[in-house]
Amino acid sequence: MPATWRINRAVPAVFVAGCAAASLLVAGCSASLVAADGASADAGPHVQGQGLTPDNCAICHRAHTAQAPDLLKEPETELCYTCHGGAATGAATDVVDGIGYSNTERTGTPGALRGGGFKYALIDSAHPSGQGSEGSDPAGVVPELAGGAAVTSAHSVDSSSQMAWGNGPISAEPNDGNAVSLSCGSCHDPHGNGMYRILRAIPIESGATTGVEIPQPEGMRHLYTTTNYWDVEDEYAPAFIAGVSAWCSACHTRYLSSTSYTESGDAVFTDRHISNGTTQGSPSCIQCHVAHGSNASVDAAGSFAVHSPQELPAGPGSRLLRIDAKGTCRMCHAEK
Amino acid sequence: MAPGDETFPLGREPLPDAGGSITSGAADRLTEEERKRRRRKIAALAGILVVLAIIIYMIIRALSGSSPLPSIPSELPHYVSDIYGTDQPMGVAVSPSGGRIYVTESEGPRLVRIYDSSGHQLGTLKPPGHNQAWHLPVYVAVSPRTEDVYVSDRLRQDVDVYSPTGKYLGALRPTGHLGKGAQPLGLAFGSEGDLYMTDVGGPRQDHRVLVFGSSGKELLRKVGSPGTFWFPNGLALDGKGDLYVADSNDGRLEIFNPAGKPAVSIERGVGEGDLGLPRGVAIDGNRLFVVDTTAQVVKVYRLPGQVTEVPAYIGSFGGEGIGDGQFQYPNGIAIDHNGRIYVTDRVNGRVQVWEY
Repeated sequence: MPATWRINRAVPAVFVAGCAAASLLVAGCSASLVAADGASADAGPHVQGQGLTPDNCAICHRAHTAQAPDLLKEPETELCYTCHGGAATGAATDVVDGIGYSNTERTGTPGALRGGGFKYALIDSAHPSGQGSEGSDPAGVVPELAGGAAVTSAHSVDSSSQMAWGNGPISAEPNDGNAVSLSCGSCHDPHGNGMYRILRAIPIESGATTGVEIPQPEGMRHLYTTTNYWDVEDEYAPAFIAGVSAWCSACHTRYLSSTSYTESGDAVFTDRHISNGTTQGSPSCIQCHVAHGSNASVDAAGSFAVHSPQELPAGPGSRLLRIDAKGTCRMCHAEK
Repeated sequence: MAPGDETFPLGREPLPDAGGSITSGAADRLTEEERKRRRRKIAALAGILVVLAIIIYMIIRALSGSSPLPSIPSELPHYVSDIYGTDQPMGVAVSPSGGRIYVTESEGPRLVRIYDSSGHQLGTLKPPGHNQAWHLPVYVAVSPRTEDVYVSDRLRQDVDVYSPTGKYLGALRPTGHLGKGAQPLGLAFGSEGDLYMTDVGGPRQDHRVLVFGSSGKELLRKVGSPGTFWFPNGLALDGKGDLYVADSNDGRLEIFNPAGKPAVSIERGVGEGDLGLPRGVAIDGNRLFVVDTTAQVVKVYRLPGQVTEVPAYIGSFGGEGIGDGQFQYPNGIAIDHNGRIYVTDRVNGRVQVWEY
């Protein structure tokens, strides 16, 4: 029986429903959604110790006629978008739209990147489950949207100057952080480093001196989507969570705290939520935040204004939260 | 005759006066003057004839639209103009008549925009019922038989089909064990109307080219064994039915004979004619065009008589930049029946027009 094209003249809604219902895997601050052996971002041209021939280098580099730093043919971000941008013509991750494709299963359905996208995200930030009025339910999920929504804020990767909030040591003098300029390569190692998200041990411009190697269990298969992010049953999540807060804190140094209700001595980041959780359900950075961009809104109805660290008025945005407004708090704390 | 009026043969000194006589006679002087007059007449007549020939040539060219005279074709095309109005354009196709240019955009409203050959927008195409981010047109091809427009959408895992009038005809999805879960990118039609499609679904071992019958429904075969391709993008077929596939992430162009057997390839490298990140592919006569996205150029090759020979590199056009004739990450390419070349210039947000 030969395979055929099926012409579906009224299928789009069915297709969307199917896609929306599909379960996906994600976690992490990073880029990709794809999983598994070969599902790792440490694949393709980003393979540690492999493919380092002049011919392969020629994809991105020129020895004598480069037009950008690091002997790159072109400035970095658009170079990355050539494969990882809209349409994902050369990768399983579309970091512009916050979409991930399975590169382990042909029939895998595209879905939402856990890290969101730089222009769009598929995070149904208004309808998380687990917001009980009686108590916390960290096993709840943030569903995927059927279609992308424009992000309200994102890490800017166009190399423009931006504030790395909380960057630097504890300071008795008010200090929000330090200006940095980010590109994709600030956090990711394009040559591969053996880690499936190819996160650099020390992000560029972070000022950190100690690297954080996030554990990668043997046979690690999963990346994490918005839907399974809170899944406490997932066997691989703990490994990532164990290291991710320390990694994020390479830049956001003074956000990392192992205690609450203890003055840090910092004039701005004085008393802080626990953020160094290393186990599932304990508070880590990625329990509340995404890495690329989020369509959540901190000024959604019923919310309160969220200011910058020094309480300066701040416009609308997501603060890279996964859930609108104080919904993030209600994932773990009963409504007061 | 006044003294000193004597004429002398050019380059000769007058002979010394030897008793009042000179060596040139009157008859000789008259003949020389006559010759000079004749030369002037002939030169004037030749000039008039040349001017007349040019005028006649220009009139005939204006009336016929093409040169009646044999010309030596340039090896590389020249820049003509741009078509602006698309957000991060990726794919481009031209209708058989050349009157419509279809361009896919990968950001913004993510429409397929339709332009006439002068660059005026005629309309847009979009699958019904979807917001802007949940459909993502990538490449486009026009059926030579029906002029229906086929648009690949990896995100929706289908090929959306529109009539020449823009009516949405439905979504094509390959079914069965060969086609299930396909994620289409590149599209091209064979001379018989067969539809060729690159499929990047699943792991690398599953990337391949699928070939559908002219009915558009029956999946005839696949091209490439497991691992042959790695994110194949652009496709093109020559007049003999040879298939050219931009095996993008492998950095090569692979050529298959009409039976689907691999023949030769142009490989990745830093040498003349080597490829970096090939994406769009097009063929015009015996010329092969390959968009090398990260090299910011279109590379041009001369096709050999036999598919067993590697195409000969001619040169490239473009180069990095934002000016006329410069690219920032070009991707798709199409050529109309007059040899006019359209190249999507993704980051510059335009389609460039080149011609010979």
